[in-house]
Amino acid sequence: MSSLARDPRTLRVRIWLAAALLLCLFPLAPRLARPLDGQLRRPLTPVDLTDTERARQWLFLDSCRPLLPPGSSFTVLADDPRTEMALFMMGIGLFPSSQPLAHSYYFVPTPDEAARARYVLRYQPAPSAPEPGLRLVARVPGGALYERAARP
Amino acid sequence: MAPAETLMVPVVWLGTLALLPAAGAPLVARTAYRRFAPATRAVLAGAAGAALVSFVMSLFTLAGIPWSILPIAAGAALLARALSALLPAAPAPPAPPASRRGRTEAVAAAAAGLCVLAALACTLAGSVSSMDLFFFWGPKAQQFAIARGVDAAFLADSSHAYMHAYYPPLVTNLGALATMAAGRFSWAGATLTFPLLLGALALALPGVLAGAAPRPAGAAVSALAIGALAVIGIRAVVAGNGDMPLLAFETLAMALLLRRDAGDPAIQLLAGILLAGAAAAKVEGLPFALAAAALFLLRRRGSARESAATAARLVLPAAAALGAWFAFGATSGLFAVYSEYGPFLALHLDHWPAVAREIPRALASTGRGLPWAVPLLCLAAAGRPRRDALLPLGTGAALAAFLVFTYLHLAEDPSQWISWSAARVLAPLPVLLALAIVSADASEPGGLA
Repeated sequence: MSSLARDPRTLRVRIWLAAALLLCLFPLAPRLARPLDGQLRRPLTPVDLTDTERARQWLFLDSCRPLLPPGSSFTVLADDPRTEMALFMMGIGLFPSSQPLAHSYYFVPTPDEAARARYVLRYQPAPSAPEPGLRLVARVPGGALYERAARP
Repeated sequence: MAPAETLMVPVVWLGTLALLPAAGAPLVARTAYRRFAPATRAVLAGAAGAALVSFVMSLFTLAGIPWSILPIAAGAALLARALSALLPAAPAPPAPPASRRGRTEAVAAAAAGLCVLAALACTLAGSVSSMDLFFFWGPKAQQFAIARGVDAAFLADSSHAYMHAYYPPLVTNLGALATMAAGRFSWAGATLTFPLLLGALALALPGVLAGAAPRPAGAAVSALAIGALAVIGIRAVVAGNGDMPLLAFETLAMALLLRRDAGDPAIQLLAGILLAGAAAAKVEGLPFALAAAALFLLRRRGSARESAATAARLVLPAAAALGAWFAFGATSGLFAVYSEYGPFLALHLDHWPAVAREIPRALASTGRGLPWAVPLLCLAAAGRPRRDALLPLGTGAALAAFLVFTYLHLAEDPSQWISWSAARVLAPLPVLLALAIVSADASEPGGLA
């Protein structure tokens, strides 16, 4: 009879260790199965491989960041309200010195709120301005930034 | 990482967290804690320091004192010193044996280290970043740093309803502290807290469990718990949100309570502070803390006086931490209780089939359910659980019941909510299963016998 069989305690500990190794290798297996050079690049956004759509939205907002003057107010427009809400939420974190004003909030349009914004960030824009009276400040990756004319 | 974020920002942001062990050191440096190896003690000091720093930040806000790093750190260290004075004088416990690490322990440490490296690689690649970090944890911490306090006006703004004003403050408080030091919020630094805390757990857990089971068993079970947390963290994308801090507090507190010397007031006080950290990290930390404390008291029946003292050490720190937070909520008019989905007992029992169907589905789709199944199978293979196992298993059952209760509160179909949250909020279960396994080996003398 082997010493292992004589000592059930040692056997148990080895089972737990084997289980731990199984769990340790599990997250690595799918990554090792793919070419490593594609995985060892510096990500452009913190969510590159978490959610590619959010990564594009993040890049759009980040591209607008240098163009937004500190203290300015802004709103975000997108074709669907889910994207618009996500952009608005991320915009609060990315533009801490600006005042965010929602164009819609959880699928509920808030046009009066958005109308107070000096800058309009249009995600994936149509060729023309999203509304009259907006001046194109710049086109950026994923959209464009507009400025609303100052009210008299 | 975000292009505009230079390397120095996350380095300083994360470096600020070194203040946490310093804040907890006046307590953990006490003789009673010399039973732990220095690395274990450093992690325990960091965890205690995090809970105390967050508490002091809440008190500053409540008192209208603007946050400033040094006064906060000094206040937390003074609090740690005052708490240490509450402990009765006792002879120094035996120091941990300086014996060489055995082969089992070395393999277990290597396995846990591999898990931490996997978590680090995934975090650096941007594949495990939690969207909740970018939606509310990060923006709140950043705004609080700018306002030098919990910003009631920001939380009260109707445009910030999704910021969950009532969420307990620890994660955003500590994020704000690091942001004040770094000069800006670090998204990269916040996501790196996932591998950092996993690494801290891997470093400390075997040392804490050495007081509950023989060292090889404690090391193997630690590696099992770290493996489960790594898989869940990677597959459920938790980097940067409140889940990993919560799990760190819960795991260390439960491991302390399972030790043979858990009757020692010093161990109980430390466990109570860590349970306070859990309760102040996320809403579900409170039922965990209450269940753990209640089951511990039931397990260790003593005189009424002893039980009252034990209850005080385990529960009062959490009561103080949440008391300060709810006092802020009440005085600012923001919130009085935890509520977002309706009155406490307004359950939608018609959603029960969806809850019963979606929770197993969510767990099965996270690492094919292995993080839950493997510890469960190991526990089954360990034989009939000893009485000590009731503490982690009962706490796990209470937590699961609380989460089902919470899911049944939603007026709409909770299926989608469950699909993206169940794996994260049920992540303590594999850890508790692994810690229950420890008790199967607890009859043998361990490092402290």
